[in-house]
Amino acid sequence: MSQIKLEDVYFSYRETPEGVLSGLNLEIRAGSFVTVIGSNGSGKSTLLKLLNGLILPDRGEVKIDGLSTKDRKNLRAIREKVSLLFQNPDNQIVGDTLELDTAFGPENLGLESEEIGRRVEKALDRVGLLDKRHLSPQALSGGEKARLGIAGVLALESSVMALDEATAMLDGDGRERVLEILLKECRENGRTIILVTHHSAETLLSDRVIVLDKGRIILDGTPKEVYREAKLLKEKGIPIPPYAELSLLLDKGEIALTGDELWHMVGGKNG
Amino acid sequence: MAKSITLGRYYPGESPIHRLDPRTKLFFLLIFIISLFLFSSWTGFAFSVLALAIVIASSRVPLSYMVRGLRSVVFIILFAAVLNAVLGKGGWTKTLFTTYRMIAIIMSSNVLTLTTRPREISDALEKSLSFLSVIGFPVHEMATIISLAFTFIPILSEEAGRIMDAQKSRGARIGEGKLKDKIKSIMPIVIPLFVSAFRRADELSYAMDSRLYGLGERSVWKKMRYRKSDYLVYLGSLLLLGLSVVLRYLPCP
Repeated sequence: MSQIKLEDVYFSYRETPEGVLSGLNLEIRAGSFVTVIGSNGSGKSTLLKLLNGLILPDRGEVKIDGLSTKDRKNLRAIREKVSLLFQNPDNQIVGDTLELDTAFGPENLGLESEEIGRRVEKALDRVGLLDKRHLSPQALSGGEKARLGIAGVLALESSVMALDEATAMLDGDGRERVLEILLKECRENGRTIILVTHHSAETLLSDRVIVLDKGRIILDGTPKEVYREAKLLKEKGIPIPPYAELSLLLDKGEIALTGDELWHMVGGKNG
Repeated sequence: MAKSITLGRYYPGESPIHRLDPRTKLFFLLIFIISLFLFSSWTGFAFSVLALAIVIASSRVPLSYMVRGLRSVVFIILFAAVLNAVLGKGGWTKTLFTTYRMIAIIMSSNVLTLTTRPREISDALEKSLSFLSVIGFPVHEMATIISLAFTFIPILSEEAGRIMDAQKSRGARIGEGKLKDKIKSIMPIVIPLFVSAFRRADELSYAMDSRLYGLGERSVWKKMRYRKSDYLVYLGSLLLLGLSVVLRYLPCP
């Protein structure tokens, strides 16, 4: 059974009556690493907000483990299952120290002090910030703040982590570190990861890439399947991985996603 | 500009004031402010200055850092002092006392915020005012708002600095010319700052909602506990209040 199910979902904001999402159907299995790409205004962030009931669909239904977000009674259970992280870590800091910020979610769950302490320690340890637990979040670098945001989400111990361009403000090293954590959470701890990104290279690590355009899914498949349509993605203004870009330039009728694949494509031999 | 705002900034330390329970500090601040309005003689003034000096020294926050917080309000204090001297009936003594009262309120509040984390202040307020929830007053929500406001003071003051730099780099002349021009030049800073603050608030509310804020009973990880020193400060506060009352009605210089 799918963990996340969107059935014919329509959504529009007051200022965009033409609709941000138009008839979206989507199923996501538990434990998968999914990346969502698309140009600005394609509905990526709206999709994430729908997942934990921050906004409700105008039409259609969003179900998490069979629970509909439309039913207010399910809200707590849904938010326990799906945690959300936004782009700017500065706008999500609620605690004066790293440990207090990480404890915010578990405190809202009404957990006992010992359990909160255990979760805070575990989450900060996983993101490599345990030694800075007593510092103010304002003393951290951009990359560390992003990791603090992840710690806050990890401490909720939810089965789905949805991240809205959580790596957008980071440099190469910072991005790599965050992706490492996410991959570990997915592969070792079985969490479902849904990552909205503008960095095409990040999609190559995922099991599945969903491409949104004007509120509709135009492509959905493994990175290999999706980037086979590199020309279409370029037309839509969606960045593609560097090797795919080179493949297009070489015009060999194939798309390479790695250096090795490109090497084979141009007739290079192993060794 | 960002550096001159010390209110809401925590100054990490291990001083006796830092270690006090935040409820104790709030209680002392309340009593100290009441005592400020009770004294009317030089003896009372001397006791008040002494109490403030002891508190500042015990906080181990550098005096220069604390005085920096006064810079942003120095004009208001001077304006009020001049107004008091010109229009008031009590002469220079009363002007000095009134000016001191303003400075002492700011300094003592600064000691509280510099030695207490915003979250501790909000927890203390919530706990101390919990009796108001009986009449339906949203104590927890108010405490959260205060805590978040303190958290966002440094962030927004830095943002104001960034906006100011951006406007200056595009030729804006901020704080130059006559008073009218000065006021006019602030608008290109205030408007983007408000827009940014609303955007931040929007995202913060989403972030809090998705971390289950307001969905059921909340627990507190680190519970507040009184220690021996807290009881001593409570006793000292009551003594200060008693002394202030006595000095007010006792004829002394």
